[in-house]
Amino acid sequence: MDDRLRKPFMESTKDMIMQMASVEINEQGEFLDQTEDISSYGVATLVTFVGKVKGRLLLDMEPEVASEIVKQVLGEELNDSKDATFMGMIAELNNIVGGDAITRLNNDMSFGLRLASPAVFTGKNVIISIPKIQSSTMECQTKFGKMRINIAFERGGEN
Amino acid sequence: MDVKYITPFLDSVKNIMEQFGFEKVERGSIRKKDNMNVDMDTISIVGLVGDVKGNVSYAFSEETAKTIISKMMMGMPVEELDEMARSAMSEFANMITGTAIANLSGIEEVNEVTPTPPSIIYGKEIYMIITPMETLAIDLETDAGKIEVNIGLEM
Repeated sequence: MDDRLRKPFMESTKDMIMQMASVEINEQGEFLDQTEDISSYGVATLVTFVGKVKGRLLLDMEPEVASEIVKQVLGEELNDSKDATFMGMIAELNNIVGGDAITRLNNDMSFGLRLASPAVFTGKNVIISIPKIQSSTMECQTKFGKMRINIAFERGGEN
Repeated sequence: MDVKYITPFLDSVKNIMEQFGFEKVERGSIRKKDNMNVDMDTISIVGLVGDVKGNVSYAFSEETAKTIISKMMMGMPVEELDEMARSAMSEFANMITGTAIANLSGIEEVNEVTPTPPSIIYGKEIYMIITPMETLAIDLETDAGKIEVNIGLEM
């Protein structure tokens, strides 16, 4: 996958989460092609987009990372990742990150992308798959636990 | 959310299921989803962008998923939800949503709606939110088992 496609998502994720929740995200290595289904760390949020190309941004994190973000943003401690406010907050986070990233992409590459609504999932042994579409993952570490960023583009982002 | 946005999705499930040779697709009650729990282990979710924005998800038990996929593949037995099976599930979600979008275009205010790529989620005791606004849940009883359609549109 072209680095110009995935870099904006990485930057937006880091910038927005730092701005909103003061949580620092450290990349572990390089973006790798995701050849298998993703086994969720606990809380997964996805937002899809369409324009000249189609794709999806998935942020997947350990519940402790999500709890910290929720705590910083809402100023209240919610530790139940099944709580509607908790989940809504994480979905909204992805909406903000996704919105920022596609604005960068639209400015640089005139893709005319628009976001669908964000969705968030939590559960036991959750597996997430995006059939027939290329995706690329960056594993990250925060002070509160692991997080991964997975970016998918139909046909690798070619028009 | 106006019911006129809901009917196209339900008609479309019925239409597609009938094309695959299922006979019974009965609509249960439409309810507002207060509880985020999904009582099913397999979910296909598709996003919508345009004059209708949001997500629609189709949830079924693993058994129901296998039965539907098997019919889609001309009766080939489906032992597990492997890559091929998941690809078929995403195609199923694409077909339903595509047909629903064609039906939606009959609504005066709707000029353009585009679907986004489906994602497949499976696991146990899944909780989900698919829209910042209200989600409607509709149970469909079919001869393959129950399908729970969740419609979450920002309108």
